[in-house]
Amino acid sequence: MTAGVSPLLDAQGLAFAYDGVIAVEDVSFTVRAAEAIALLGANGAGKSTTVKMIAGVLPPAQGRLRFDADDVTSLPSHRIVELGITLVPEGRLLFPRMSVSENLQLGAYARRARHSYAVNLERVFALFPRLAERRHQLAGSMSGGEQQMLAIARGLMGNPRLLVLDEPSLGLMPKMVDDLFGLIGTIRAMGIALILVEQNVFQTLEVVDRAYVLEKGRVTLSGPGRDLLRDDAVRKSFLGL
Amino acid sequence: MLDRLFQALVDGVLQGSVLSLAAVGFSLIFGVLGVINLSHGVLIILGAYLALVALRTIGLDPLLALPLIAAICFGVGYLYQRFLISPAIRRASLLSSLLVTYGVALILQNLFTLVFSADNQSVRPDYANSFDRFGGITVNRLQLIAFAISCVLIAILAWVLRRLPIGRSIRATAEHELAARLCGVDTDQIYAISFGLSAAFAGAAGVLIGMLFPFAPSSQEDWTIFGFVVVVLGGAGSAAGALLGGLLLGIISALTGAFVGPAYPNAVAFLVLVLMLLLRPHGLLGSAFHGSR
Repeated sequence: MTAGVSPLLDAQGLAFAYDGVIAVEDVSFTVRAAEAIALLGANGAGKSTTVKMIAGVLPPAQGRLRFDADDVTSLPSHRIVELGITLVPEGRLLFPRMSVSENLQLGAYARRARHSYAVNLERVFALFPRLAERRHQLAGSMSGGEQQMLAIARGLMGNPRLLVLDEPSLGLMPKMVDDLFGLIGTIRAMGIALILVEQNVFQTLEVVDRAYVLEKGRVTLSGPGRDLLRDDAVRKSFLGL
Repeated sequence: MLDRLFQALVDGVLQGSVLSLAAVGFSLIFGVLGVINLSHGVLIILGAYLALVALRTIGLDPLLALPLIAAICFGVGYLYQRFLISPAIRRASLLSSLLVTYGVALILQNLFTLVFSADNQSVRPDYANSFDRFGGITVNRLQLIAFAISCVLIAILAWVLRRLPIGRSIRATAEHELAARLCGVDTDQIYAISFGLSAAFAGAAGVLIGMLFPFAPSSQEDWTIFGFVVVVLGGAGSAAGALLGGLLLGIISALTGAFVGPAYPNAVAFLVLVLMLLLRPHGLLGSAFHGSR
């Protein structure tokens, strides 16, 4: 698609340990502009730690992160958001005692997002009409599915070039999960690059361009989503086929 | 009898408003950072001594000096958090802030003693001694002024926290620090600004307190403890909670002073503190020490 051009995000040899316990040992991957990739793997494979390093929440112990060819390794999270990388974290991390509107306003806190606040708000309300209906409701009083929608909407309010979704389908009802994967196609159509961290392997591989499989803090397998769907190792370990 | 009751209630509300102003910063810092700032009282006394210096050196009326003193205290609080409290928390734990702030309180108390002596001081102006009568109730004009200033300042803080983007990011940081960071909020900066605001309100309260009451370096302890009581009564991290807690403490003190004896207000205030912690540790509004964190 954009061969020859440097990738939007380039992660090389990332490593991180929590108090001496290695969580990520050696993870490398790339995301091209407007591309969607997935990070797959079992619990404890290092997926969440990896995306926290991308978002500037955890400083990599080793390795290098480049965004748009600039070195962004160990930049604090507010600088990362300002550059256009937004993480929608596992567990949503909304502001439960604030209204839907205020959560969305906070999503647009970065300078890069402020000038396009009205446009993004309209876009988000078009995507999630329920949020428009409930804009005065407290975020903590909504259902799990609505909260996940709000978390993604808040991420989109940051006007990101790369949106990172960490386990967005966790705890959602099957119907909501289908809606969610439909939504991922819509976000891609906006030209926003995506990193999807998921355990829902089958549906994920259907919607992403490429995927990386993590095991014990290392990338053990990578390739186009549809190829991995046909890969015996993936079918055995994730799909139980 | 009824007149005495009304008089005590009015006195309680007037004094309580100043207690609210004195405690609102303590409440903000606890609500946002989770830090129990044991140097809060010394920041209040700093405001009083700055008013004293302004009065002695250039003859500036304390009320006119108040905005300037609040601004100076903002800077002091901002730097204090950035360069002392934040590094201590980062290197050790939240608990270390107790030791750091207690140490700073002792150092500043002794510094004030060195510079201004341990004697009581006052910046009471001439107009403090005029009284107005409303029916059977006598009101001191200075207390009325202090009441008005306290209410206006607390209302401004409430408005800033509720309506302004900076206030929204302070509340967001208080609710969930990581979530705020992921929204692009520089939470270190927010912590420092919160501390600056807290110190500015402490300084402003200190000016009023210096006009109303005699003060000495050792008064700082009382003001920290009053901050504690107000937070336990009203809840942490909100301007409305501080207002409620301060007014209640003021009314309790005034009623005790009028009907039990002038020596007992503090004893009763602490009795209320202990009872609250035993019976309603979440505060009257449900947001004190447990609920807010």
